[in-house]
Amino acid sequence: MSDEHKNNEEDVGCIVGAVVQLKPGVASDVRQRLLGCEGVEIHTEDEQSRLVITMEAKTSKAVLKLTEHIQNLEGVLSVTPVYQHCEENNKQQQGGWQWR
Amino acid sequence: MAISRRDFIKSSAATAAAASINISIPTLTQAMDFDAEKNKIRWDKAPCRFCGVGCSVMVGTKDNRVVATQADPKSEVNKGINCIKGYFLSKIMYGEDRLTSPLLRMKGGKYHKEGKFTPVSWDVAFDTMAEKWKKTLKEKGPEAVGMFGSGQWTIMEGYAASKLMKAGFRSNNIDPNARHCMASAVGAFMRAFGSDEPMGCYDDLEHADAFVLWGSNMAEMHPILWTRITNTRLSKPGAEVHVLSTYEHRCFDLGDNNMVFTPQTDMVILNYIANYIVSHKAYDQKFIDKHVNFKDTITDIGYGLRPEHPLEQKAKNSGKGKMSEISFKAYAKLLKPYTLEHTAKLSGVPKENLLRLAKLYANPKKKITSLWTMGFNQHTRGVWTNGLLYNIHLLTGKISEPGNSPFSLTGQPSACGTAREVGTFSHRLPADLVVKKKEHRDFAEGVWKLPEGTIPAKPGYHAVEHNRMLKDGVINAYWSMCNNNVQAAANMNEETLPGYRNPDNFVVVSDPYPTASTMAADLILPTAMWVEKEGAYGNAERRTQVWRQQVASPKGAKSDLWQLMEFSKRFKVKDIWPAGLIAKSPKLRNKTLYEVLYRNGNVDKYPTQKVTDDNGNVYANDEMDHFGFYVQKGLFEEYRLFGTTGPKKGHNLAAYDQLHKEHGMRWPVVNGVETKWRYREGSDPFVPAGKERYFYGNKDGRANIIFAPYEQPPEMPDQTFDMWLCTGRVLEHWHSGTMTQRVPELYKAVPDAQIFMHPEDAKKRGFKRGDMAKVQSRRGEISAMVETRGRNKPPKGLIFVPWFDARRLINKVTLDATDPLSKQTDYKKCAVRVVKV
Repeated sequence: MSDEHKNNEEDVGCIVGAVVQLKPGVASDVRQRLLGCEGVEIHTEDEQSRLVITMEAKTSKAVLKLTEHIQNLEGVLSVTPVYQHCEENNKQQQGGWQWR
Repeated sequence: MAISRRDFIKSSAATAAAASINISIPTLTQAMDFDAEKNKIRWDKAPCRFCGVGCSVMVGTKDNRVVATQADPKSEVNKGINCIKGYFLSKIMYGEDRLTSPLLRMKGGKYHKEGKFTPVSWDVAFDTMAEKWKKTLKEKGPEAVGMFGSGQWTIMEGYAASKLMKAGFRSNNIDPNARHCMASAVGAFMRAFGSDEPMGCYDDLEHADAFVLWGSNMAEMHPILWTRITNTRLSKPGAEVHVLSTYEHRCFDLGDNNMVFTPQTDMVILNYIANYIVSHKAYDQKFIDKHVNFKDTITDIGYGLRPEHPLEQKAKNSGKGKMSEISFKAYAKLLKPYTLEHTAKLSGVPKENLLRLAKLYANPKKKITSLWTMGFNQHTRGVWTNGLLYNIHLLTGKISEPGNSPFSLTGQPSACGTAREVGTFSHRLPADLVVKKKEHRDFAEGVWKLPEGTIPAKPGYHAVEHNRMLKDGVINAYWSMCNNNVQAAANMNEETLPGYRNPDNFVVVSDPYPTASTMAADLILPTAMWVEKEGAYGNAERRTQVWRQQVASPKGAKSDLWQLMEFSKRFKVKDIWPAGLIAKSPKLRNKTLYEVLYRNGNVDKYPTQKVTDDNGNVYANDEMDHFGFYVQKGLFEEYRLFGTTGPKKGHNLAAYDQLHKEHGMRWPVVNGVETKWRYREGSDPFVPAGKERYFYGNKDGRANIIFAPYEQPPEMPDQTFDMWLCTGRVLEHWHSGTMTQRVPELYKAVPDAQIFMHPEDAKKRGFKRGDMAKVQSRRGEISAMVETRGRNKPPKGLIFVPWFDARRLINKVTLDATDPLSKQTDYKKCAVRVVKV
């Protein structure tokens, strides 16, 4: 953990806990690829090829991108978010949708 | 070792995720304990604002702002997991364009139909509105006012609205957007079982051995339930998944038997399966003898178009639904034409796939849960088609038992709880009562303490007719709440927009955000949403869930409930009721509708109180503060009388206070205990001992198997318009996108609607992936980008275009044909062509 995060209690960005369901039998491959994603940690897994991961990033946009990336990995059946904590809400970038 | 706040949050996230699959990570500290203590985050439950699944989320609030959400680990629905929409749920309230002031079209300092939207006070807004309502009521009577509501209203809002319209203004012209969504399901439930809503529940997803998806794309539309199905499929030996659709979608990844069929031929396939079961004597004779009647239905019933439309003129029995008793033998004979060969030819599904599906249903050892949503409901023969599936489950006795479940999914968070159970339809009253039956009206008037004859007997205009009647100037004062019907209704160019912009009409739209509908309105009312108010929703498995107000709404925005009740103060009984009716109850004469409907001794029974949870946290309740009594509790408890003391049994809801404690309860709730499987002895308290199963919605306790033949859709591809168009949703956006399109992450993931098309169809027309193309029908056209890969893979001859995108309104193209019985629009099939821009 960087000093920046230790010292600045406000700056937690976006943290998400999720379950990744893998196709049975491909676990070790995907594990490696998941560990290669920045901000992803694998905490545990069960006998049904389900991994418990956390994803961390500065913005929820970056976490969503990460979620999509994992969803599209070969061997991943689903990514199911369970917990999200985003403190960028206060200064949330808005205006995704607008009349054109 | 000191642990940072960030580490705590991360460990909470991991713990919660692990707990959702029943793994504990013991060394980690629960976030909620830490947060509550150190960060003053207050956690409380609330159902998700989006789809009909009804997941429960824990909402973390700090400084009057929702900062965190966690899937509710105590929820039996989502069991501690979320989908991607639920994951960003808290952000829907924080779009920068939230409306905070009423906006009235004005020119020269006063209202003008062609004026510019100008901020006005709530008083000016309501005064202008009341003037239009009074003028309309005086000149044309109750049938010239209308209201369009929603399966996203809270239960209390829908109930308050229904009372205001049916008992206050004495107009049945109230209909919910659930008409576009669930009306066919309701129609079929009533015809087969005499009572609305599923007999099964989500527990079936673990009990079943096989799942059959009829048109439903659950992977995208009901992801949490799909996750439960995935778990069963991957963990239970022999479990299988059959997927039927008019195009390939994400569910096909898991499917064991995938079938793409020609639109409308689901009816042929359903009758083929019934034929297979009957001809192979795979039916359950004992079950049939005890629990089933056979019926035939009148045919050639038209397409719910305007009466002058050539197709309606041609139909022999336009809009009719009469059924007649037949024998099992006669039923078997009617099924005879639906052979394997005939079905394969019409549907385009290979014989071996059809046979595998038929054998599955016929196998007495397999427990089967069938699931469907808009594919069956948005169908010009939707009621019939829902019924054809019940036929299969009833023939085999695979119903009302764990795992054996024909299950009608819903699209909106309270399509069941509000639209259907409260009865905000133009023909209904609470708890399955209907306006046309005197006994039912009498009962409602009794609960509401109103004179006999207050509620009109004639059903009002339904949703599709609303737009036609606005266009024709028959309805002149119109209020739309909690939905976006200009974008959502079919054939908007020819019906909806001319109706809203008709100079004779005054149209009010209440919404938290600007939408296609607010832009077409004359007055916009800014609305509080989701946890900015206290409320209750009812999900697809009959589960009622209550939440407390978590945060304040933006200044100026008011809940629908506040709007309805405040507006009712502007009308006196003597000004709008006929003298004959007032004479029956003279004491009401000088009272306002507010006093008559909401200060009737029931609704205002519970005084103001502190709203608290078990941890002693205190919650605001803006409506209670404003009106001076516990409005939500009073409305809910009065409404509950319809289920506990009404003429239709089995609609008992739990008490309001109990619902605050539980994470949802499935009705009927008797003596504080919920019901998982209706009509089943031992599970449903209304089934007498020894009956095993008892369909008590019908007088004889029997369910109806109703034969209906395949009939063609009103429009099919031809030489000029050579392709089918199917519309629908995508995972990231919910309905018309007014909430999800304001979550930047969701917007960026799927910003624009595309034309999903088979690569060979694209090539034949000279398109490459990413080219702009025009979709044209006989009614209108839109331009969008061609997508030949991606998640939806249509077969040759069919395109799929989602409808969330306000800049590409596919409903300019769709046809407003409806099921003539349910009046629900068929958004899934019409004829189009795709040409160069």
